[in-house]
Order: sequence, then structure tokens, then C-alpha cells
Amino acid sequence: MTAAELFDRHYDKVHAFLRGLSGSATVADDLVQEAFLRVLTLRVPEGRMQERYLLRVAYTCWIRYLKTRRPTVSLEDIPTPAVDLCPHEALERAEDATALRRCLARMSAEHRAILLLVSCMDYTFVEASEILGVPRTTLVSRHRRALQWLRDNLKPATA
Amino acid sequence: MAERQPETSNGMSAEEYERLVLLAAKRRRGEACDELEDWLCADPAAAEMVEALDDAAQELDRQLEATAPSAEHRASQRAALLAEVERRRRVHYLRWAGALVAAASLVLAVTLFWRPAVVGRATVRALGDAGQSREYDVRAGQTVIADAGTKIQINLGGGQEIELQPEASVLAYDHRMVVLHGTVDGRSGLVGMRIDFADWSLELGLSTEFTLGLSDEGCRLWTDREARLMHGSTERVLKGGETTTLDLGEQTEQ
Repeated sequence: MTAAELFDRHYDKVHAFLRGLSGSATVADDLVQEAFLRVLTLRVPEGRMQERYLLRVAYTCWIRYLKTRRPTVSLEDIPTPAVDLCPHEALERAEDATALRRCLARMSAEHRAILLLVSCMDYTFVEASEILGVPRTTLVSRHRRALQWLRDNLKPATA
Repeated sequence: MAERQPETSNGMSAEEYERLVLLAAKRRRGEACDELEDWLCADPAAAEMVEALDDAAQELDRQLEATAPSAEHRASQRAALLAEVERRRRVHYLRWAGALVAAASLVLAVTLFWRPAVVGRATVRALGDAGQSREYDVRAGQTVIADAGTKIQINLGGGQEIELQPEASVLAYDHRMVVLHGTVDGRSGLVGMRIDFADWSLELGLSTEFTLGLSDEGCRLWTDREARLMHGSTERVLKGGETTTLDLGEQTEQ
């Protein structure tokens, strides 16, 4: 498979995954390039496996990026969607959304990746476990812990 | 072997939790999910969990949508990737080409300038007085030192073999060591051999047959072809097929 075919087929998913992990489109751009270049030097499996393989390489790139650079998430870059609500309700919603956004930004890379894959990108636990390279049962309990962490950290802000 | 199913803190098994998450994802996609609705009605803790999960998923979705690249950006990323792939491919080919040129240059340099070619190897077998033998692989340029009184056979690898005659033990002149210096041309199988004894040195071609003998008159040397005998800075040419007598004692005193 050529680089162009690989890119056309998987760019959106890989970019979304890295965007979700990093919270930054710029970082995702760099890491997508790195992931594709790395994959092109390896033996890429065919079929559905290919996508998971690419995501796994992308995740490895993200982990490597975290080791070399401090993660930064610019909250201001993420626009709050416009809502047709009364000012008081809109303010409350915006505060909740901001708190949630902050929590997600502070979440560990692993928990964030699990939430992204399972709850956002609709991968099954089995598929996500293949991408992240952990056993399924471990992934389930980490997903549970990620959610619990999120709820615990949102409580004071939303109370 | 059955997979371990750890229990979560609220008593829900991992399997149940997995099911709950998948059903919640199904509902978020807009699919009707009565099973989930029934579950949430019966279990408030699960309802809280799913609510938090939905909030997080929606927020992540919003973030992904807000930072989604435009078609132009995607195209520029694609072009950048393909350009980088092409650049790396060129660098890869250039490296290979460079390595090949370097290897070819090395081979050419060795062929042209390494003369006499000293590649390949010869086998030297040393036979001791007690009949024991030992074989050495001699690489080009190596020196073999054998004990006095040792008979030496040299197999030159090209089907040619030189065996120093029994008289060759005279090489251990004055009970000194015999030193053979072998060089091999791997392609032609030729060896230039030098024998040093006392302060004399003798250079012979590979296929040169020679006999050394010791008598009261001195050392007798016979070669089948022309050879060079050196003593200090003086050089003496030995004619092939003739025996030359060398008075080693006198010469060394000079």
C-alpha cells in the first residue's frame, strides 16, 4: 500500500485520536506525520488490523512526545459552542463545560486514550486493548477508574 | 482458561461494566436501547456513571470537532507527508549508492595498489622430531616461527605444496629459530616466501624448490630458479639449478 493510500484511508481517525489525546491540532499534525512515516518503514498489516496498528503507532508517538516535552493544552483555543439559553443557564453550562474540559486536560494520557477510544471513537474494549497494548480486563478497570477520577474531580467544581 | 473478572467498587462486575459502557455508546450514537433504559431505572449508580460518561464523551467530541482540520489543511498535510516520504526514499537510495561506490572504490584500490596482493591463506604443517605434527593457517603477512629441527611443509592452496627437505633442519642454524614469512596471492595461489637465518635472508617465489644443506664448508643452497639472497645491504642473485655454497660463519663475521 502506498503512502498516499494509507494517508487517505486513515488520516481522519489517526488525527482525531491524536487531537483527542493532545488537545492540540498543531501537536496532532506533527504526531500524525511522525506516525505515518514510522508505519511506512514497517510491515503494515492489511484490513481492519491496519487501522488499529496505526492507532497503536500513533499512541506510541504520543507517549514518546510526552516523555520529551511537557504536555500543554490551550483551553482558549477550544471554542465553546454557542447555546440558545438564558444567560444564567448558559453561564452555568459554560462553567460546567469548562470544569469538564479542565478535568479532561489534566487526565493521564492512558485514561484519556481509553475514554477516547471506547467512549468517543466507538472502539470495543477488545479493539482498544489491542491498540493500547494492555489486556482487556485491565482496560475495563482502567476505564472505570478514569470515569471515577473524572467524577471525583468534577464534584467540587460543579457542587 | 477463564479470564479473571475483577469487581468494580460499586459491586458491578467488569463484564457488566463493559456491557454498560457499550450500551451507553450505542445510545449516544442515537440507537434505541431499552436494555440500557431499564438498567438505569433500576440502578441509580449506573445512571450516574453513564451520565458522567456521556458528558465526558460529548466534551471530547466537541473538542475533536472544534479542532478538526479543514480540507485544505488535510491536503497540505498529505502533500507534506508524501514529500517527506519521497525525500527519505531518495536519501535511502543515495546512501545505498554511496555505500556501493565506496565498496567498489575499495575493491579497485586493493586490486590496483596492493601489490603483491596479499590476500588468501596458506597452510603450514610443522612436523616435530617425535613425529608429531601441527598445522597452522597462515594469513598473508603473518610470520610462522617453528622450533629448531622442525620439518616444515607448506601447502599453498593451489594444489601446490612445498616440503622442506630433511636437510632443511639446517635452517635452525646455530640452534636459532626458523622463521618463515608467507604471503599469498589468493587469486593466483602464489606465495612469496622469505627465510631468515642468522642475518641472511632469502626471498623465493612460491613454486621455487630449494634445498638447504649444512656441511663443513658451510651452507649449501640449491634452488630450481633464480632467487635473491640478501645479507645486510648486499644482495646476491642465485642461479636456478645450481648449488651455491655460503660460508655463513665468515659472512656473519663481516
